[in-house]
Amino acid sequence: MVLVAGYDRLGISMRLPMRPDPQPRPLVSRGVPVPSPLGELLQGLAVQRRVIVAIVLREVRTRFGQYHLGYLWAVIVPLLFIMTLAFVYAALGRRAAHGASVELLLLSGMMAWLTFTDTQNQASRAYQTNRQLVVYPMVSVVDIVIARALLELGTKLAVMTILITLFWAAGYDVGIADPLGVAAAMLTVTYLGAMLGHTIGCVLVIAPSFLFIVATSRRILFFTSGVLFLLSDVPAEWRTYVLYNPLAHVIDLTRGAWIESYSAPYGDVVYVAGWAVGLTATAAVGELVARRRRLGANR
Amino acid sequence: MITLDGVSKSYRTANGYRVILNDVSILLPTDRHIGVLGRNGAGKSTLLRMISGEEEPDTGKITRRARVSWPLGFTGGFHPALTARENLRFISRIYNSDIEEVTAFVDDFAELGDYFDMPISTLSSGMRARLAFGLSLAMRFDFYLIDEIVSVGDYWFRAKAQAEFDRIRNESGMLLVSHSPATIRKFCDTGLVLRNGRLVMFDALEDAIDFYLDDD
Repeated sequence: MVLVAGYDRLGISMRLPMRPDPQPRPLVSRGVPVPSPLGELLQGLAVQRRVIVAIVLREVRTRFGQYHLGYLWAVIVPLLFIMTLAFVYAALGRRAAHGASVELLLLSGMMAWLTFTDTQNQASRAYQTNRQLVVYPMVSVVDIVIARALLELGTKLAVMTILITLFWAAGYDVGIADPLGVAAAMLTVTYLGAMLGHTIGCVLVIAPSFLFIVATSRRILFFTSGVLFLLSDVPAEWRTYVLYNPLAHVIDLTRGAWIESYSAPYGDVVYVAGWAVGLTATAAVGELVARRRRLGANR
Repeated sequence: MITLDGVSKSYRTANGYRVILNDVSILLPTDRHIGVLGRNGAGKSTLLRMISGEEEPDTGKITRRARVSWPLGFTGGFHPALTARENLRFISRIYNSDIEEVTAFVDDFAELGDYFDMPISTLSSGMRARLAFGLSLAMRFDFYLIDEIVSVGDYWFRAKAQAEFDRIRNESGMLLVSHSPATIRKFCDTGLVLRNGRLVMFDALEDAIDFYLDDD
């Protein structure tokens, strides 16, 4: 057996003999080769990749494993939402603009919104629902957040594919004009959701009552995000306020990429990038403060 | 080698702060069998959790340059909704151990039978303890952290556990905390005493025991 020592985050591979060795090995002093800073970084990244893969696989089991309906549910929720609202809009006599159907506007808006809000929710609860992982020094809450965001993005892309197929089979024109643009938008909402979610998760470690504000804010964010309307339908004086919501921008951009005849006149990439940078900073500061608190440090 | 560098730790109680460690700097060799003596409430278990990385010191830094175990027999690291087998797969993955070999070893050692494929939440505490102990053995840590020696399971399991414990004692270093000089004398070759926020190291085990017993 090769004995290699390493830091917490460094990977060490050891073969496990099936039977104890016939003769007890005398204790030998184990020399510790101190790796170079670059080597340390690379090994640390290799461990993080391994940990994230392990958490993704574990999350698949815990979230969908016990109930096979779990996968189905991920498709049914947005489908029911879209069908109900499309029915209401039809009853009200509303027609979609820009040559797209109401169903398509709802589908594009809803997928972006759900990806954002579900990622945010999963990221916020990453620590709370995985407290037992603190005993493993190589696992950090950031790893859980990354794993959950990746899983959420993958799930939503699969759900999107299924829904597009369903709508297409039912005779709707829901084809994506610019798949790369939609993929970029989905990646953006996942990132925003993960960073906002992790920031909230860190605040909750210090102030659990903050949860009440989160639930209220999410509703405001939803109704101003433009899932239910096009920004051009909103009166100009209200639109100014709606456009403070970064999700209104991303959803507009999603539709611009998805729908051939829609040009996303309000979506501002720079504004969204500003939010992404800002939320990254709050998540980083939050992690610095919350990490020691989670592990019981008083100061 | 484990390094404690200027480590302080205290807990808030009704009567102010209770100091566990007060600016302790020490090198712990991971190829020795180190016994930590301390009275009840001196903070031995907290020290163990900090060395394992489960808990952070208030100030200072702890560096581990070895594969350090979680406190032996600790059962809190399992996901309650996943089966024993699924938990083993996850832990093997993060420690880069061979999943099949760990699974085969623990399945044979812990003797959970059908419960090996049942959610952890349905296992009795004895089953969980056997699972956690078997897993600690299978991971082949360089340095084992042990919070008192507690026997787990029925007599037969104890005999088997004893044999495995002797094996890891030959192959790995360990840090054993106890309030009993007899236990420390039996298993350790180096003594540390935890008292009044200080961690005092002795080359000779008997000196540590004398110092510990002299506390009146």
